[in-house]
Amino acid sequence: MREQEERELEEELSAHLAIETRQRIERGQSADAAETGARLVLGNLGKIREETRETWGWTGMEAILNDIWYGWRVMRKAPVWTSVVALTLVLGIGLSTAIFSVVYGVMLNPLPYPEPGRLITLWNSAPGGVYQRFNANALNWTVWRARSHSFEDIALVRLIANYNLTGDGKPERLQAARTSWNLPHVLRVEPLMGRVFTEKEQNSDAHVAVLSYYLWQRRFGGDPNILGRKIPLNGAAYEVIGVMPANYRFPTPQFELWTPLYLPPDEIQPGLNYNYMAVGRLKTGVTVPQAQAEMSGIMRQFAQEHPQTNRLSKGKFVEAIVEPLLDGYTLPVRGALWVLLAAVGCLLLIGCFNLSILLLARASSRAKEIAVRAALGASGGRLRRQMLAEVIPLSILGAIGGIALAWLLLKSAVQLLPATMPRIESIGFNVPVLVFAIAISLLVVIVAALLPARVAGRTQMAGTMQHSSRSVAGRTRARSLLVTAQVAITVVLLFGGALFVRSLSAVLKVNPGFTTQGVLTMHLAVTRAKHPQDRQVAEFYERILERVRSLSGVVAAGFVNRLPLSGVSQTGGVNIEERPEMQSLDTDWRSATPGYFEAAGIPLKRGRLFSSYDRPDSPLVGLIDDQLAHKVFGDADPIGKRFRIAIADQPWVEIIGVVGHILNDTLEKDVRPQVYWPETQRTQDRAALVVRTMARPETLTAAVMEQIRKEDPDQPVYDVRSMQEWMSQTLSTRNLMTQVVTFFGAASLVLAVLGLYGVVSYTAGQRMREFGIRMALGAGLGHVRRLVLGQAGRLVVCGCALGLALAWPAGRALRSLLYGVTSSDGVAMIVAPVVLPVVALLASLGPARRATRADPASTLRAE
Amino acid sequence: MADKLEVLQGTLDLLILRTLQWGPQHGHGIGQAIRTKSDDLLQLEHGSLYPALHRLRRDALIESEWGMTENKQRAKFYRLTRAGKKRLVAEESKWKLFVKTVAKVLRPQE
Repeated sequence: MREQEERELEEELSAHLAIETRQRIERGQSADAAETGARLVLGNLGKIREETRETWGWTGMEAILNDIWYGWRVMRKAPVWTSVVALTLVLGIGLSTAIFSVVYGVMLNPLPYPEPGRLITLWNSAPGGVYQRFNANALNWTVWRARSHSFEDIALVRLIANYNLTGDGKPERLQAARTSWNLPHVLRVEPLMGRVFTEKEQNSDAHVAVLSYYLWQRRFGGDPNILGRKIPLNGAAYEVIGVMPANYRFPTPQFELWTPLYLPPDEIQPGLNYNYMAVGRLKTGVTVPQAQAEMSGIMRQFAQEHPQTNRLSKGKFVEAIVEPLLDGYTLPVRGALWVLLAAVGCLLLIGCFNLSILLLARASSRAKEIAVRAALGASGGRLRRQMLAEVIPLSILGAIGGIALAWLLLKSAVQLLPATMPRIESIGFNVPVLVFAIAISLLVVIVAALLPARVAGRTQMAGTMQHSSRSVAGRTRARSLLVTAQVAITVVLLFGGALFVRSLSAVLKVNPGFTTQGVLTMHLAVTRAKHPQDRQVAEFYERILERVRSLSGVVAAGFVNRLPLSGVSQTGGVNIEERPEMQSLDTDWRSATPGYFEAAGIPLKRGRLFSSYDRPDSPLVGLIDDQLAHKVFGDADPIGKRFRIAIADQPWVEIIGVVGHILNDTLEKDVRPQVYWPETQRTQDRAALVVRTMARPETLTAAVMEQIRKEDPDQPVYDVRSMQEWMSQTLSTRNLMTQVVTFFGAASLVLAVLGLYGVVSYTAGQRMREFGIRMALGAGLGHVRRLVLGQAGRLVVCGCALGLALAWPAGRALRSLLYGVTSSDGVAMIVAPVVLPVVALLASLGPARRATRADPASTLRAE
Repeated sequence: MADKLEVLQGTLDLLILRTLQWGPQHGHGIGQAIRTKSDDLLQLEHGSLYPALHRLRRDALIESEWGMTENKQRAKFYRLTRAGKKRLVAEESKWKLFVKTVAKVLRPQE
């Protein structure tokens, strides 16, 4: 293409020479003279060729590459400018890519099963009540499977089915799930080795187990002869019948073992035992709403059959919710992730506007060059194209730096993510993330360059040529607009950050009702095969406590069946004998040994605590917390009254004392009161050992575990942590959110102030002549300073006003993530309008000072 | 030589378009026509035509085609396109306005 153009140009020029020579010969010149003359009037051939080539307008890729090369050269001439813009881009692109990769990994990355879009979870829901969503029970499962037609099949999973693995090696606690036989078929997963269990094995409670790939590798060294081997689980021999592939980690990567879900007949009852996760696969072509409609019909009919358990007040009944399986995983973090994405988007936008402002400044300083180009015949479109192409090197720099930054962030930050975050394993630096990074860098630069390019395209050549340094009014206006927008976005981000900081400080002030200082905790679950009688279990706990209490540095020790803030609970209804008219009260059910309340720092308010005289055969006793006491008995004394689990045949127990209420689930929600039974009278297989220590709790960990090992070398101990660690874990998500949002707020403040500084100092520079004249006419320094600061002030005030107007809806969007503050919190509202003007003032002091140095004589002379 | 005029930046395009109004012409012919028409007052380096011609062609105001001169010389002939004709009309009226305005400004004040 180009070579042909070159050849044609050569031929064209030689044709010109030929015609001219011929004419000269016809006019009577000699051949030699004619040829020389022709060359003379043609002019400098090299220059002609060069100039002509330049007009060829580089086709396609070549033209863009040429412009990009030009842009690169311009950038290298202004290294400071280039680094500022590149840093802005790297920061914006890097952070947003990192956040996106988390959002993608958690929320968008499809589940690792074939046709994951058809997988759903089924929940129960009590409309209008406290329980908007709760697990399925075994009867749900049989009814849903039998009556629905929307699903290929529905599987049932019991997630709490952990096993003590003993035998060769260290005893350990395995996180396992009991599943219905059809789960692998619903998920469409084949075992790597061996087989999965059958319906018959499920119904006969066969002792067979399917291992995860990791357990197989970790514990059994990838033994190829593992199939058929018996492993001791909770003291019983289970036959290994299969090993699943490495990517099968259902429901989360923490699960390492699957056993058949045996459902004893008394488990299958209406209104009870909502202990299961139900996972189904929609038939091809069936949508979630269609399945939902069918399930609603089934539940309505079911409520008619079982009005006692499933009919609610006001004509409502227990509903079923059909929900994509992925949504169930992401539900707890969805809100937080959207907020992070929005915040980083705002930051990116501010960075983008900064780039715009800097490009405008460059366009101004290059106004003459652009005017010359226009004069030489460059069209508006051509100028726009060139401006865009020139910033492509910037976008390449930004993309490379941003990807590197995001990669670094991801490498280090995944460990900082709260352990409770779902699908962490799916977060990574993959193709969609890379595509996002590249797309976002291109988009940012193009958006940023559009406004400057428009202004450049409008450049009036005559005007610019005449006024060598004055800029076009539109440019200043565009810049003021951009800065105002930046300030507004910054106000919103600072406002959001302030809301999170205020929420965190409110949460930190919450008193959980127990002490977190100097408390060591660990968990154990007894192997029932070894201690078949409840009495034996209770005695086992007592022996361990005796040993632990004998250690020096231990102040108190006790067991409880569920540790506060550890993410697990055991809840259910209780009845109060004296108040039969009260419906069953939802409570935390706790079994505790003597010593637990002292160790956990839960105060006794009335009566007495459990003692070693509360035996299985002594009168049945219990404790309630002060919240329940107040709710049921008001100011009356509850001691001596009786309560029981809200089932008819359960025994009544006498209230012997009232203890302080604690926050069991989270610090942010007070869900329900607690009732306690002595471990001897309501024995639990799983227990948390709580040890109050004099020194730092960690220093006693080894000694306490040694005592347990001495008592029973086969007893696995797990989740060994100080109470402080459990506390930090509950706070981790909020902590991280607060840090990230505040950081985004601060970063946007810096970027916005940078933009403001740029605009104010540029405008001040433009008005130097005016300032000089004003001063020559007698204006004082203060007057000039006020002019400059006034401009900055106007921009900031407009931005703040706009920002505050936007802060209101933003605060409302954050509402569900806040604690202890309202979405229109006054303190948070004034943070940004106070911080911003101060910082803005500081940023404009420099330009203002420079303006006062305007020397009337020299500026006028320069005119 | 003292009376010769430099071609004003920007007016060359107009002159070329105008010249091509009478039909296709090659580079040499265009230059010659401009010189003749201006009674040799417009000084025009022959070579400076070519960048202008190529630029106009790029902007699709003119198009080119190889042909033969009367003297059997192969040469590139340029011809106005529709867009070129439109541009010519616009540029002409602009030019007239410009001349009128400049003349008005230069007219001795009464």
